[in-house]
Amino acid sequence: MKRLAVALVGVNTVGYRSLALDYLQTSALADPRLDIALTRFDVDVSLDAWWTAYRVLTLTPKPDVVALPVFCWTARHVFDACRLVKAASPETTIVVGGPEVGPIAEEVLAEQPSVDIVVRGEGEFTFPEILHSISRGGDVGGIPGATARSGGRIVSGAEPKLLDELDMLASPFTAGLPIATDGSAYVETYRGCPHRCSYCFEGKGSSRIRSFSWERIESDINAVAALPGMTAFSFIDPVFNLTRDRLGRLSEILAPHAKRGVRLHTIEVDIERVDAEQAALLGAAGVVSVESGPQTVGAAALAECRRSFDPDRFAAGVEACRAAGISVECDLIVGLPGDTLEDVLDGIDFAISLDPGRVQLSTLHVLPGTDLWERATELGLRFDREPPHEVISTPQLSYADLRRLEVFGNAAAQTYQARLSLTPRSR
Amino acid sequence: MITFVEVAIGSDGELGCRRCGASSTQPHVRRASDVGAELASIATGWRYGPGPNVSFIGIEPFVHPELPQLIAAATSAGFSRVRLRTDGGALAKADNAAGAFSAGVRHLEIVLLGSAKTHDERSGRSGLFDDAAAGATAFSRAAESSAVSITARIPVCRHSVFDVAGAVVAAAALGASAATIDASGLKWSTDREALLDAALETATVNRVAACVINWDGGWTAPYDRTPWQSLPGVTQ
Repeated sequence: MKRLAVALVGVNTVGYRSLALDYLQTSALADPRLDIALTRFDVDVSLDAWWTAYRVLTLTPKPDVVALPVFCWTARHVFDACRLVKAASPETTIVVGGPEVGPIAEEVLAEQPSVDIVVRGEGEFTFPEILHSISRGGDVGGIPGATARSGGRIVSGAEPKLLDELDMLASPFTAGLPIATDGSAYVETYRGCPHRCSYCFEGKGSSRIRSFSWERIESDINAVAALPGMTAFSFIDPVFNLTRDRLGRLSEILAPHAKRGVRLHTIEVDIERVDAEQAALLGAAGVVSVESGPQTVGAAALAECRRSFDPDRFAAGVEACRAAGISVECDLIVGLPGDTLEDVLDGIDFAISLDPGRVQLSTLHVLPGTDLWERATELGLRFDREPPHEVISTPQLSYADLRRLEVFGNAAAQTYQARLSLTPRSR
Repeated sequence: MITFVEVAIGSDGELGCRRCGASSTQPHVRRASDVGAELASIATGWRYGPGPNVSFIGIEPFVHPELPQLIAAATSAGFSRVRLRTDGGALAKADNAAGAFSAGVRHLEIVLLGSAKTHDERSGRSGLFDDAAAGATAFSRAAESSAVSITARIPVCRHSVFDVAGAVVAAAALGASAATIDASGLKWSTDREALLDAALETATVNRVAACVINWDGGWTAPYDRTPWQSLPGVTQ
């Protein structure tokens, strides 16, 4: 069996290193069936894709397989790089995966001739299977979770089963991979999301929560937090305060590191559940900033997006965080179906009125695999089919309305943000 | 949205169109102790949401002999946002931009009379736009990773209205996120209304949130709200 040269390429936004690629790397290296020479490198998405291709094509040994995770905001770069690599090295097999391509795997293969294989869903088992199959000259198309070209056709293997025992995944944190100490490292304690927001792919179609064991969580956290020079990191969990007990346990594990000065930033929380006790637990864990909705305050959009919103509880949650010295980032989405111009302006007004610490506006991205992607026609949502899939118009807001709201919202957020003390003061 | 209370630190000294006689009167400077008392009163009674926030207006702040004391009075009274309405010229000199930032200024509202060429002509100060641009850059650089806001105030008169869209483009070139077009010096006409509408559209495509105030034709803006609102101070 031939030793396979594999290149993993992370195309990242600023301040983020692909955790997905870390998991793929450790899973592939931990598979005893594989004899691989694995190279991993990361580039910033702002780099010209020609230089990403350059780095791939100058690797020694020359990669037999190149794998890249794809997100909506990195897709153009990734596909450009794939096209260039394939043109220069047609014999290289190109594998992509991630939320941008998994839910529309066949469409991606039809539209991106340079891509050979798409991994659907979680890749930690599918990707090593693909490598195993390639090294034996087998047919990749039959592998569960893989969609590939086969005999001029596009063939999809069976739907992959979600892994129940997450502890079976090799830990990227204890495997000796480099861990950033500057705040760009992320830790994961569970997968799935309790919410089913129609614009979001966080739960990847499943609201079932699958958690790592507490032993594994503690081990991963300690591996990251106790690293010499570690100043800050974050968690990728969609809701950090999933339950009070869970938050309490996490706080206990994190508190010794917090006492040494290790800080947690941009932790996603359900702010309406945060009271003084939860805020104290967050503070003891070293949390300095949390991120939350409301995304919108418009009743129609909330219903369309399957979100609940209680302004009083939301305000109380922000206040509890402020009192504990924790900055809150309030996120708002412009262009949700059902939202009128007044709804968006009310949302900006509401968020700023809470003096949370930061207000962040983003335009709706109609993401593959989400309810909005499926129901776009029914809802009258027009969006760019090209990534990052920004909304073009809704029945309530024209293209011009959306652009004006983006400009207005950014000016309002900037006016709010520019102030003397970035640490919210207790009222 | 965010509210700023406008506090006059002097009078008859803001940049304006020379042909309208803006520079013919002698500016009056208000004493720092008087301004300080007003600031303390505003801070104590603040009821407008996140803040308190103040905008120093009335004269070019960098000609006020007690500007450091004024800023210090605001910060010690607890103002979160201190804004200077300025022609920007002085920001390019010495360490004024860095000094203003370190003293506590987070907002600059730069007065623009038109595009770069018109601005210099109408102000009668050759090179003023370039100085303002250099000052805005120096201010942002001094802030490093801290958030600061640069906006523009565009007073229009019959001499400059033809170039109001040019002023908006100039504001974008300064890095302004928003612009307030003050039409108090302008009488209504269909042509002028069209020029103001064109300026608003120009603002949007340049990613500047703009509105027109004090216009005979009524409120002119995409919305009935602005990214911030200004309220008059006690002395106005």
